[in-house]
Amino acid sequence: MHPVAVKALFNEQVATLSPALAQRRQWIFHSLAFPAIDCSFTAGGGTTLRVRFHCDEWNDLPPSITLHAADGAFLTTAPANPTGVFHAGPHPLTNRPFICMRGSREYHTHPSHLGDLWENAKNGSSFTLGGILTQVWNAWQKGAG
Amino acid sequence: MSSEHNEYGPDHGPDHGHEEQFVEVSISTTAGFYPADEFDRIPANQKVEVQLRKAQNKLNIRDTAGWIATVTLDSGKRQIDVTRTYRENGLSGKVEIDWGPSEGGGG
Repeated sequence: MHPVAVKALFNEQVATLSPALAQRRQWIFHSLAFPAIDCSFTAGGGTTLRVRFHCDEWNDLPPSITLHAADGAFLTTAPANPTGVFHAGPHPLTNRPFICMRGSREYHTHPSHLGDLWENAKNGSSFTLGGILTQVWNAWQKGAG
Repeated sequence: MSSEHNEYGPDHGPDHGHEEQFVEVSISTTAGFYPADEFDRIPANQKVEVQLRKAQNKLNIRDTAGWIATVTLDSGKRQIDVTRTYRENGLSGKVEIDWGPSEGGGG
C-alpha cells in the first residue's frame, strides 16, 4: 500500500480512540501519532500494562506489538495471564515476550502460526487497530493485578 | 388525592415506579459512541441486542462475531447477556455498555 494510504488509514482508525473512550476504559493514550499507538491499561489497583503498536505498513501487515511497564521499560517477562495471549517467548525475531494472538505481527511471524494468514483476518471489524487493542485489553483484564 | 385511590391503582401514582421502566444507555466502542453524546432512554424490558444493532449500523461496524458487551459496576466488570433484557441483566439507571471483540485465543 502506498505510504500515504497507510498513514491515512491509520489516522482514520485512531480518530475514534477518543478521550471519552479512554476515560471509560481507564486507558491512557501516550501517543496516537503515526505510526505508533502507545497506550497504558490501568485498572483499580492492578499492575498497569503499557503496549505500543508499531503500525508501519498498516494494514498490509498487522501491528508489531511490544509490552512495557508503566514507565515505558520493555517487559522481560510476560504478564501473568490465563488466556495464553501474553507469551513468555522469547519470540524468534524480537527475542522478547510477545502477544500471541491473531492481529499481532509477532503471532503471524511466529513459526507456529505461519499458516494463519493475516490476509484472512485483516478486513474484519475485530482487526481494526481499535479492535486489536480491545482484544489485548480484554485479555489483560483476565489477569490484571 | 390519596395514592391509594387513583387511576394508577394502589401506590401507583403517575410517576411512581415510572423511572424503573426505563434505563439510560450509552454504548462505547473503538468505532465511536452510540449515541454520540448523552444517553438513549430505553425500555428496561428491551433486549440489549436491539440497541447494539442500532449502534452497529450507525457506527458502520461490519461484523461483530465474537464481540462481548460488558458493564462496570461497583463489584467490577461484568459481561452481560445481550439476548436478555436490561432488567433480566440486573441493570437499571444509567447503563454504560462497553462493546468490542473478546481476545482471540493465544497459543
